[in-house]
Amino acid sequence: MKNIISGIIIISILLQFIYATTIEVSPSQIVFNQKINEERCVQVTIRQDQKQNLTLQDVWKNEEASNELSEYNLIDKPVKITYNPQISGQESDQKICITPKKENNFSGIILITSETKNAAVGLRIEVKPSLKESVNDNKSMLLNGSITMLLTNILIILLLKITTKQQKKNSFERNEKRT
Amino acid sequence: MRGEVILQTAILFLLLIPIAFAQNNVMTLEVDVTAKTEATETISIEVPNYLHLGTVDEGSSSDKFQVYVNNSGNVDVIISPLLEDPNDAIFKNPYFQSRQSGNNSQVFGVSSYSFEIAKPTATKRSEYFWMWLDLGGAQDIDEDISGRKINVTFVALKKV
Repeated sequence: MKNIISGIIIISILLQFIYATTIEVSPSQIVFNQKINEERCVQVTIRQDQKQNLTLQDVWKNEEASNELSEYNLIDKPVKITYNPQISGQESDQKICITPKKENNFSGIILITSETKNAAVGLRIEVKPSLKESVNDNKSMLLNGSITMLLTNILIILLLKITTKQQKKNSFERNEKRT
Repeated sequence: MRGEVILQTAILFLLLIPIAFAQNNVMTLEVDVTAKTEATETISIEVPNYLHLGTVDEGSSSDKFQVYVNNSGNVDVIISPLLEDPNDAIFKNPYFQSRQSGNNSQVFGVSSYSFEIAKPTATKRSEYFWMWLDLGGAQDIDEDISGRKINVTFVALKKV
C-alpha cells in the first residue's frame, strides 16, 4: 500500500513536468548609457520549447534595479522604447531600441510571457544617460575661444599703431630740435 | 608710410589665420556603438502549465501542493508569482511557502512571495515551493463551482 501511495506521489510530481513551458532570453541584462534623445538598439535572442505566441511588455522604476517586480510601477515611461510586442516561433532575434527622455537613471524589465500565461522571463534594462558634452558644445567653446583671440589680436594691432605713432612723433621732435 | 600699412595688413592677416583654423577645427566623430551586453548570460525557466487544486469546501483550504520550477539558464534567478486577476472571488487568496517547516516556513500571499533558484552547476537546477488555496475569505458562494481556472504567471528575473 505504501509503495502504491509513494508511486502515485512520484507520478503526480513528474506529471507536472510533462506539460511545462520553457522560455529563454539572452542576454539577461542590457545597459544603455547613451545621451538623452539618442537612440540605441540591441538585439536579443528569445527561445521557447513550444511554438506559441509570446507577448512582450515593459515596466519601469526609478534608479537601481530591484528583485521586487511590484516596484516597477512608473506610469510614465522614462524612455522611448520600441520592440515587437508579440512574437512567435521557437527562436527569434528581436531588436530593442531605447531613447532616454530624462537625465536620471532608470531600471526597466521587458516581460516575455508565454501564451499560456504560466511563465515569463524578464529582460533587465538599465538606462544610465551619459552626461558627456556633445560635439555642438565643443564647437561653441571653440567659437568663444576664437572671439577672445580676435579681440586680443585687435588689441595688439592697436598697440602696434600707437607705438609706431609715438616713434614717428619722437623722431619728428628730434629732427625739429636739430634744425 | 605705405610700407607700414602693408606690414600691418600682413600682421593682421597672419593673426587671423589661427582664428580661421580654429573655426574649422571642430572635428566630427562618428561611431556605431552597441550597448554593453552580457551576451553569455541567459535567463531560462521551466514552469508547469497546470495544477489542479482538487475540490475545496467553502470556508476551508485546499491541500498543499508541491510545485517545481527549473532554472535552466546560467544566472541566479528570482521567481515571483503574478495572479491574472488579484481580485478574483475564488482565487484571491492563494498562499505560498518555501518549506513546510524550519527557517523557510513563513507563509506569504501572492503579492509578497518570491523565491530564489541559484544558477545550475549542470544543465538545470530544480527548486520547489508549496502552494494552496484558502477559501476562508471567499464570500457569497451560493452554488457549486466546477472547473474554475485562473492563470498564475511565474516571472523569472536575474537576481540583483
